[in-house]
Amino acid sequence: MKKYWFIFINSIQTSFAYRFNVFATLFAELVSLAVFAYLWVSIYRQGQTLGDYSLNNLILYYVLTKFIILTIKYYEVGRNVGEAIREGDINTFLVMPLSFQGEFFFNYLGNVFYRSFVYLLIFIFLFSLTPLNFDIHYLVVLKMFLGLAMAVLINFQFFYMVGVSTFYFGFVIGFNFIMQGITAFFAGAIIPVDLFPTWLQVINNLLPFKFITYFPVAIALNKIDGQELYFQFLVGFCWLIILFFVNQLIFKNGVKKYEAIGI
Amino acid sequence: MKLSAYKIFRYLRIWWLQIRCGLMQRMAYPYNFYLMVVGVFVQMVLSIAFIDIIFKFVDNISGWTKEGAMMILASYMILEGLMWATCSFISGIQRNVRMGTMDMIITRPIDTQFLVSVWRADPEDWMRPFTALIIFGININGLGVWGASLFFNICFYFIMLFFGFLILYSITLFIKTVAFWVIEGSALWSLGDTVSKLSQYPTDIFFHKSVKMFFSIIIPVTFMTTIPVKILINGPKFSLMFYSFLLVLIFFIASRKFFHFGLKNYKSASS
Repeated sequence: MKKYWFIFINSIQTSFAYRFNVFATLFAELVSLAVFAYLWVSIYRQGQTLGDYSLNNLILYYVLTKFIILTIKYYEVGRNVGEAIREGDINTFLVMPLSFQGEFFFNYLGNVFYRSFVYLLIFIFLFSLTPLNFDIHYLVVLKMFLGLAMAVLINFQFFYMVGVSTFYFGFVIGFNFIMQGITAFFAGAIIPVDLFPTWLQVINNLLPFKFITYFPVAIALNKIDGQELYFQFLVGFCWLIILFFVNQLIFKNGVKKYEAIGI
Repeated sequence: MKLSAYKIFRYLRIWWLQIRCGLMQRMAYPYNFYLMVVGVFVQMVLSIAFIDIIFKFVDNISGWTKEGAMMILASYMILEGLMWATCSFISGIQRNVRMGTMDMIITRPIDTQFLVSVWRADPEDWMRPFTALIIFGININGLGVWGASLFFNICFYFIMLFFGFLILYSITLFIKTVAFWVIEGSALWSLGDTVSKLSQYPTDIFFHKSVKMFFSIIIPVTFMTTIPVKILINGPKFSLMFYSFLLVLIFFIASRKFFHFGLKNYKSASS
């Protein structure tokens, strides 16, 4: 386990080296968040509403969503894993006593840890400057963090799957790009999933995407609670197990096909 | 800058060659290319779904009907598509600065700004303007403009959209030039993308006067999509067209000067 701890620490240190990127990304995302806020305020000012969301909760939804998007970065794992296979970097892992998935998982975890720490501080500071009202019980915070942990794990497993499919496709930037768009939409990063038409909500309930963003945000906004919450945690956990075993299978068969030439 | 017809032809030929090279690079992995095309299309469909879902709950957004909002979205798709398909949001600057290969570009007997601009082109993004034209065709009837006036409005709309493209190009050049100072500036992409994405909504949503002014003068997003669509619906307003042309001139010249200033700071050291 010690070796993975060093991967985790190295990843955090590397993140510190590129501070400009973190702050430039944050700035860009805050601008897009402000545009969303303007869009919703302009709609609510006219007396119109979106579903059962109050203006405060709708903006809060986007603030929390933005924090999650910035922290977990959907596409990152798929891109890094895919490139490692395509360029032949995986060769090193095949001969070392180090798990390929473990390396990428702890590397990703280090990045997530760094980003969540930086963005949380900034978001709390900026949030305190807004008139938004966010009453949250500490138990809900705890549940939300469990939901966030599940979001990180499912996102990793899902995009790891996209990345290891490089064994079969040769190049997965296109596939990663498609999945990034689909994930953003079905995870509720563009519009809350409970505002989808009913038929789309039914389809979305059969997919793992909502656990990547909507689920932790819905917990924070008290949209999911009680029995439903535990049931959703169970469903999310099942998805995690399924994705993990599917990934093992894809990797195992992929390595058999792999020619170690740096495609 | 004195450009002869021969020079223009030469530059167009180089641009065409770069576009072909871009296509050949993509086609080295054909499945990946097709997936990229599908990915772009999916992204466009999801953007349409976003507007569609909002209009399931509301009648208008700051006075814009669904057809008008869709036209703005289509205009944004055209601009973004052209930016990707012709110059890939000028990604040539940061890539070459980071890799230290800018030396090879600045020593070539051709305008450096031109070469870094056309250095990469993403052919899959032609799907964006293509999808946009479909949205355009579907929603044009809902705008309430018919006959000859519709024809003239469409002509002026495309002129204004071309101005919008030049404004977006210039703002992107401003942003990407920062790569000369920060070297590992992959997040500059996010900044350029954000400016472009700002234009997918009607700028009338910015109800604060100061914000509206900001997006009309400092970062003139208003002139990229909202004004062109207003001209498409209400007909040409020459004061706006003149102001848009003026903005193009100012932004294009200023961004070019800034680029050359950045170039002077290039230290030829890859990271």
